[in-house]
Parts: sequence; structure tokens; C-alpha cells
Amino acid sequence: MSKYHSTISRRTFMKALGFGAGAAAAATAAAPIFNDLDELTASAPKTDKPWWVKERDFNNPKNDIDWNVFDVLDQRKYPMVQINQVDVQDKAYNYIKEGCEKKIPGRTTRDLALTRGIAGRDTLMVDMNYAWNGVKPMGVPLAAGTTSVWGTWMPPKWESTPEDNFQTLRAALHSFGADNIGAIELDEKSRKLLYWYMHYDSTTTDGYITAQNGSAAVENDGNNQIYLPTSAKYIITWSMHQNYLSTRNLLSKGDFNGGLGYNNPLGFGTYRGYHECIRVEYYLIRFIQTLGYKVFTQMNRNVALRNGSQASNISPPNNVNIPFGIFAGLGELSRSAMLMTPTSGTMQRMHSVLITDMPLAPTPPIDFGGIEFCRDCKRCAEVCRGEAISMERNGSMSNDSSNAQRPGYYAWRLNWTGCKNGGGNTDCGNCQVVCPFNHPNDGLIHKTVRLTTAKTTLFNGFFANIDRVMQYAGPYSDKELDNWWYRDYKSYKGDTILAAGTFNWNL
Amino acid sequence: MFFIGIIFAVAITALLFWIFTKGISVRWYEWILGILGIALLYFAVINFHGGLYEHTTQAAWMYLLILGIPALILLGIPAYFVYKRKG
Repeated sequence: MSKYHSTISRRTFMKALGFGAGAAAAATAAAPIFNDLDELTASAPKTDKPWWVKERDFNNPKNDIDWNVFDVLDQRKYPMVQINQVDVQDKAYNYIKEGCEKKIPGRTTRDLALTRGIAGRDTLMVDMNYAWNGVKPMGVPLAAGTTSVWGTWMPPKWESTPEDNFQTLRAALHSFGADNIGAIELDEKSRKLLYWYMHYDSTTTDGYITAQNGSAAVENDGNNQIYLPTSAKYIITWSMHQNYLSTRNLLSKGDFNGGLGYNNPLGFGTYRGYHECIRVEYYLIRFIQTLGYKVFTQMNRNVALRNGSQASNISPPNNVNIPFGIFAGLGELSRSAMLMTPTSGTMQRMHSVLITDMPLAPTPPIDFGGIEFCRDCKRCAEVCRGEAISMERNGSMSNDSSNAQRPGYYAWRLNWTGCKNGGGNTDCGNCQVVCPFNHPNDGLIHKTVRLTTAKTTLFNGFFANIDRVMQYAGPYSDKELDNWWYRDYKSYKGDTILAAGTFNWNL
Repeated sequence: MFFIGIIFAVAITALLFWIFTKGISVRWYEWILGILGIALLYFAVINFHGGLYEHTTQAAWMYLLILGIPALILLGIPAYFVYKRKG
């Protein structure tokens, strides 16, 4: 069994524990010594199958094969059978229609919307360039004989209480892969979170987009003005839990602050987070639209992609989403100007923001002692390549316009010039990785720290120092980084099998 | 973590069973030291285990060092007193 980063399996650990408590367990955990790449490769798991599954010879599966007869499948010769499915389809779709109209569990409008949000392998590729007012929802092809024309029948609108509506979206989002979810009901105050190019127009029911200067709208121009119907006053927002271990792989040793260097490409967690967030957003847009509500995206970035002009002003310059997360209770605003959550710190990526007319019960902002911890911690600021993160103990209410941030709220202001000069936005994620709140709860100490920090500020400085002494989130050695390719899938906790759930599938 | 808890529970039960069946006298401060020692040892072991799972190897070993050794000392003191009295 390979022991990536000296990790031991539970079985090995328990075995060692049984022989001689801590000492034996410790000995078992010792890093394996590999003398060359061949030895390392040989230590990698040979198969991901359970031990009781037998492997057979190549080209010799259990199905007998006559190699004199067996040949390529020529579908001109053996075409897929075509039968009249009208009767079968009509019965199946009427079953769905009846369920939607009578709200029968398992086939209500929201059940249908869930599967329609995800369905459509081919349309997914096309629709990913969706516009600011969403994508085409997927109905049910009730027309007799059709198999690929969607939207001929739309289910009745899903109507429930705002609390149940939020629960519906939360349940859907969790199945899509997001676990930090909140909602905002926009009022006179919280409307100030909206982007400068978004306005309300009581005369419109669907919303519209126009150029700022009154001329014809150019969709990929960041100066476009978006007008929303006044009914669209609810926001659903979520963040993607970024992969902790793969993100940690980006740290390297170097001469920058904190002894860190440029980021390793193996630290792919950031990009994965972005990607998954867009995928989830796409699912949710179609889900909400199939429920019968309008959805407006936070920006018209994808229109630019559709027009093939990616280099143009894809998103408006102040496309910020963190304030939505703060107001919806996803987390607190950290020293590094990132969203900091109580359970996984700043290990979050791009929480998405959708505006809808689906009534949603709002979720309140939260307090877990995050800002107070940031006051004493400063771990992120210590490793900032561009020295862009404030080392001051306290934040400020004011700001000058050079930092691309507005005044009027308490925060440590990020010096964006320094951040970008240090590689921020594209090549530096050091501050994000080292946040002590990122740690998973496999070690009981992290739960203890979280609980204590939420109740008292007394130990914040001590906890930050412990994090330094223990060298949490330090760069991996070359050997450890290379070992990633030979990790033991059964004990490595940084991978997930998408949408399969969290059952223990291993033996 | 679950299995570590089980092992500790079994070990503590066995220890208590041994103490009571053998009629070994343990003074109140020895009970306190022993309980603190076991708690600290448990904390050291589960954080060692958790640190390895988190791929924070150095942190894991540090926990074993800075929590495990004091735990053994705390357990050793009452054990020594009891042994000395019995002997």
C-alpha cells in the first residue's frame, strides 16, 4: 500500500495501535523510503478493485469470444432498432404530468425540475454560454413520437412557502455539490449589494438589457445596464468548498514572504472550484426556471464567451460576490478579503449569485469569531507575496478609491496593486491556503479551536502561534508532491467520486 | 477516531476492573492525575491520527510529542505511587 504523505490507513493505524499504542502507531506512520521512481511506481496500488475480484488475461473477458467472427461494430450494418415509442412515451410522460399537477411525491414539479436541471448531455455543452437572463428551461416532450424536442410542455409552477422554497433550493444545490448556501431578500439596504449596472424597472416583467448611452445594447460590453423586474428581489447564493489537499499542493518553497515561492501547477484546487461553481450554477438556473421562476445571473460574462470575444470586458470591473456571502451568512469577511467560513475557512471558491423572483426565506449573517481571530492571526498577511494584506491589528471603515473597494464598512483593505504585482488573481494563492480555519476536522484540535474561538478571543493569538509552530499548511517536499500520483485511493481523502455520495465504498 | 475511542473505552474499563477486583487503593489526587493523563493521551492520539489524515505530518508528530509525553508523565506519577504503596 502506498503511503502518500505518510498517510496510513485506518486498518494499519489500528493494527499498530493494538501492538503498542502510540509508539507503534507512530512507527507505522513513518514515511516510506523510495530509492527511485521505479520503486515509487511499484508501490502504487495495482488496481482499485477489491482483493476478492480476480483479474483475467488481456483480451480474455468472461464472455467467450470467437476472434474469427468478432469485428468492429458497423452501425450501418447493425443499426439501432427504431420502434414506435409513442404509446410508451405518452404513458410515461402522462405519469409525470399527473404527478406534477397533483403534487404526488417523487414526481412533483420540483422533482421534475431537479432532473431537468441536470439532464441534457448535449445541451449542457451548448448552453454553458448562457446569457444574463438564464438558459432555456427543459420541459417534457409530451408531443407524440418526439424524443429530443424539449419544452413542448412545462409543468405547473411550483408554489410553496418561502421557507420551503429555500429548503428546495438548498436540497437541490447540495445534490449538485454545494454545501454552503444562503439567501437574501433585497430591501432598501441590501439592494446596495447589487452591481452598479443593475437596476429595477417596475414596468418590466421579464427584465431587459440596454446600453448605458441609450444606443443599441452590445451584449459583451461591460457598460450595459440590466433592468430587473421588481418581483426579482430574492438572491440565492452559495460557495463551493475548494479541495483542501489539492490546493495545498500549490505551495512551494522560495524566497518570498513566509519562505514561499511561486505556485505549483499541481495545486489545481482553485481552478476546480471555479469550474464546479459554474456547473452548479448552470444546473440551478435550469432547476429554478423549470420550477416556473425567473433567474438572472450576476453578470453577462458568458455572452462574451458566446460571441467569441473572451479578451473583451467579460465582466464588469467591480464584479464582487463576497458581500452577498457575508449578508447571506455564508461566512465572515477575512483579513485577506476573502469569505471565511466557520467550517472550512477561506477554502472556498467563487460563491455564485443568482437573482430570482422565487420567494425565499432569507438567511441571516453569522458570527463565529472570525474577524476577531483575524485580528490576532495574520497568517495570510505573513505569506503575502505582494505585501498587499494589512498587518494592522484592526481594520478600517474608510478606503481610498485606488483599492477597488468601497468605503463605509469595516474591513482590512486589500491593496490590489500589491496583490496583482505579487501574482494575485492568476498565480498566487498563498494567503488562501494558510488560513488556520481551513483545516478539516479529522484532528479534534480543529473542532476545539473553532468552538473556543467562537466563544472567546482569549486564545486567538495562542492558536495562531500553534498553527505556526505545527507548520500547518507548509509546502510539501518534492517527494510528497510526486507521491500524489501514486496515492492510495482508499485512504486518500482529497478525492471524491462525483455525485456518488459519502458511503464507504472501500473494502 | 471511532475505533480509537473504542480501544480507549475498553482499556479504561479493563483498568478499572483490575483496580476494583484487586482491591487496589487509589487516592483522590491519583484519580485526578490518572483521568487527566488518559484525557491528554486520548487527545494526543486522535490528533496524531487526524494530522496524518490531513497530510500535516509535522503537526501530527508534534501533537504526539507535546501532548503524548506529558500524558505519559501524568499517568506515570499515580502508577508509581500505587506501585510503591503496594510494594
